[in-house]
Amino acid sequence: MFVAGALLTIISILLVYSANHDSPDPRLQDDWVKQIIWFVLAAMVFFATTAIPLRMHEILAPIYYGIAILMLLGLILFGASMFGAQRWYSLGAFSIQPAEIGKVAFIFMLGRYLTYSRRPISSLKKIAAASAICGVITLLVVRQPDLGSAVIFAVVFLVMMFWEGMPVKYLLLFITPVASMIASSSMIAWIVFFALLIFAVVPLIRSSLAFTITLVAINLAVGAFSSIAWNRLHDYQQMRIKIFLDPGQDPLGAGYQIIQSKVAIGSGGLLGKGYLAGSQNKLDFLPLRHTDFIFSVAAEEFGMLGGVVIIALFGYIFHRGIRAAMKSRNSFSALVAIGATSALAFQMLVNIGMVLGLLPVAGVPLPFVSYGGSSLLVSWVFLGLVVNAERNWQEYS
Amino acid sequence: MVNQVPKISRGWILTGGLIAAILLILARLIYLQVFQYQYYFQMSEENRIRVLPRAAMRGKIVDREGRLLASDRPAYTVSIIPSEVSKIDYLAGELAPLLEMDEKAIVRKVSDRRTRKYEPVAIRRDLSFPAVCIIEESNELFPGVIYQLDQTRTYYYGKSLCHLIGYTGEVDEHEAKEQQYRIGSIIGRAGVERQYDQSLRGIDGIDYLEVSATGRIIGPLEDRPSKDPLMGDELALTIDMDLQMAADSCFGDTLSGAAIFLDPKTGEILALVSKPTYDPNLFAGFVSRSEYQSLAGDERLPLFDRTIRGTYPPGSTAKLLTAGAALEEGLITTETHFGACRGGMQFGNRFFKCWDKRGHGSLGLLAAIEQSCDVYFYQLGLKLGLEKWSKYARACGFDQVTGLDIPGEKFGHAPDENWYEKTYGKYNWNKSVMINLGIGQGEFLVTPIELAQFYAGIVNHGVVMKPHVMRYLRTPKGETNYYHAEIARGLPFSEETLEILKEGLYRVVQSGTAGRSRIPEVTMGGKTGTAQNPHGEDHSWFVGYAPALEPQILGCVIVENAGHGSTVAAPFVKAVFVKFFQKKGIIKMPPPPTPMPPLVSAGNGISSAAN
Repeated sequence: MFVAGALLTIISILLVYSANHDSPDPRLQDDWVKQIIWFVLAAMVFFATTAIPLRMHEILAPIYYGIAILMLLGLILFGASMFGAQRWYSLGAFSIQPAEIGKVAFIFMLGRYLTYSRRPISSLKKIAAASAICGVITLLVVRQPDLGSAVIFAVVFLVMMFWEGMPVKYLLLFITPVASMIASSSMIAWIVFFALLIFAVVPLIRSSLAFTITLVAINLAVGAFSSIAWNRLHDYQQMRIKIFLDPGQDPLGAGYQIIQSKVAIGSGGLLGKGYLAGSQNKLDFLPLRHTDFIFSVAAEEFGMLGGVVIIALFGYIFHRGIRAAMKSRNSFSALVAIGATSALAFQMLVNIGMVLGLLPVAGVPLPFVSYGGSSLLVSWVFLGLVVNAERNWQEYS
Repeated sequence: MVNQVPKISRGWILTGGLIAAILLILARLIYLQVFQYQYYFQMSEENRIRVLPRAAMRGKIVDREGRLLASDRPAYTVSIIPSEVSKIDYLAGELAPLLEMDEKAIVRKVSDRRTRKYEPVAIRRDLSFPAVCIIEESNELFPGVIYQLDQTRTYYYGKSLCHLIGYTGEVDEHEAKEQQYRIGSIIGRAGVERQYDQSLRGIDGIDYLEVSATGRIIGPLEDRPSKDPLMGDELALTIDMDLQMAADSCFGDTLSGAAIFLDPKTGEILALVSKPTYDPNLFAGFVSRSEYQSLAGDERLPLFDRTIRGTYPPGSTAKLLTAGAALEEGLITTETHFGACRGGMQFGNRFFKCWDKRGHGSLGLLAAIEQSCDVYFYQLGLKLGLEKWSKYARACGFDQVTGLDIPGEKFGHAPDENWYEKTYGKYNWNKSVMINLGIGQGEFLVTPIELAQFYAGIVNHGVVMKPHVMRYLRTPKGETNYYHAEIARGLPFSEETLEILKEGLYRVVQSGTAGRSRIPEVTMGGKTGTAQNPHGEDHSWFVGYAPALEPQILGCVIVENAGHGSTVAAPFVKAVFVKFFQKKGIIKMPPPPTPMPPLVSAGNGISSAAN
């Protein structure tokens, strides 16, 4: 596992070097050196994470969670603003993203609650309490606003709840409103969605009348109010969604990123243009190429071969993560492993989906590979947690 | 049970979902990198490459003695790439004072470009070096603004050759589509610049530059070398600038008209003047709208090329057509006398005057040509009849273009019976129209070049050459293609007829109406004419040639609103002939000064006029 993570991080250093070492902005030229330093730190954190018993985190979880909430609150007051959003604490040369720390704290907190609560998972009270743990931190992240991270909290929450055995019908309670919201952008899509919901989903879950009515009502409400919510989105968020739907409408404006990313990837071909030889990368056509769009640099310079290697390394890590959760006899360890894996997997899927033009531009970094200390450290913490759970699978709670 | 999934299955469900998602991503990756590879590779190439055309030097234009008439000189051109400018109003405001241009003009030029917005739009040609330096220094302030070392056309003789050489302009979007030329490249718009544009324009070079996303030029592209431009061909004209200047200076700045001098044996044009003139250098750099409008709106029509587009009644110069046709038809001999001229002639209920109120008496053909007796030709015209007259007029090349190698030529009008019937109705005209046509008035119209070509045929044994101004085109490598003289047609006159006509023309200068324009050293023939002008003063014609026996030069001059041909147009022809024979060494230098003839008012208001 360490080897898989290390390979990804070394690829990251190579790509950051390629992307930025001859950047016209001298502040970016040494990013690859910073990334090496972060890697050394991350490796130490990884070994520490594998060594510290998960039991300890289980006990300290509420404290972690509290600190994360405080940091997010503080961010609203003191955070450094960038691109119209407050996501950073500036500490000299480095910056800290509380949302990243929040992800770890949230997984511990939810894991602890689900393990400690004696109520059955189908209990509405338990689901409500778990939702609250997720909801508070998610709202604070949305407030930044950082939609990409917020979605990750939601997904990790659902995966962990599913893992814990929450009935599918309750899962639907969370998932269908999102679908309703998306479908509500078009009247026809919305009608089709409700037809599916009432005539396919409801008979399938064979639930009580009360539940069915609640489900439909929530979907109606969410769909109806989503237009109001749409207007509350920041301009750039609206734009990103619009551009995702039709990137060609403004090739030199906001759709530029997606188009240039696709050009970079497509022009890489099977074997790529060669290391340090990507013209899209070298000539500044790729935006944010050392962070969010780093996969495009990989695909341009190393071609499909490079892309497949990166995806395969991730695939291996995810496989080990899920296997660890399945093997573990300890409920908390299993939840932490599945939470960490799902966080990594979801970020990876969203990031690569974005640079490939499958998903809207969401500002989600690629774990291990995107430049940035917080993201790298947290990726390694997740990896450490998975390895820890895997190693101690036979421990009972 | 559907709602509760067993723990192990849940792990596999998650694994399955993950595998599905990863497969989707892999499929997309393969789609982009394998199936769409060519498309995106092309796009990335276009992304990084900016193709900057390097304009070819336009070929120079020289006269028959190699004197430089027009050439390109290096000049800076400032262009804007529309696709790289977001706030054109702001940019125009910043640039306007620097370019010494109107803000709106800049905005219009940029926003007029509807397609190909990534190609530069030339905003200002011939910008001063200091202004270019300012643009270079404040590069960052002016995104999308580029400057290039380019060329500007310079016309060294400016006004005196404006209609002949014409001018150049920029290819607009429409033309770029039609003719596959680059937008903004230079194209000949008028004169020989237009006629020989294909040869003069050369082939543009191409610079392949690697650029960054912000448009910063990284440098030349390594794997694609630049293509150097190929200069256009050199165009040598048949024009002799000495004669051109001599003809031009006769008119001064006040007179309007046209002058054509040519070699009747070959059709080579030696001088071609249309007055008034304009400065073609205005069009080479940058013409403001107001400058153009003042030219286009000028009542004296300086943009109008009178030599090939002006149609005038030929006046008495057309009597040779009447005479030639009648001789050819056997209607007269030189001995035939008509009713005596007593200052005019009664026909029906109208009295047709002769230009000379004193009357000429009864004349033979030669004397009638010499004295340009109207009454003789009234009667000859009537005898010839419209049908035959129009047949000969057309056979002589009237009513069609001469084919001179300058674009935009028009032709005059030689009416026939059909035309009169169509225009006036079957019974609303009669044979008396021949009275006017016979002396070159009425509905008969010619362009100066048509008339010159007709006379050139008379003095060249009936062989009408196609007039031309191109002598040769020479490629940069030195291959020279000469103009091959072409016969346009033969006049429908026998050698005997032509001898009689030439005898008459000789007498006109020796002892007739153009006697004052005789040159002692050289024999000369010619014919004066006075064209009635319903809008004002009569136009003054003279067509002359020398030497009388084997003519080397023929001149055809019309001076608008100047009265009698003998007093104004004939001395102009003489002045140019003197210059011509001085250069040949036949007339000794220094030449006697040619006094400008006084402007004689001829407004005698007669129903027909000739002298």
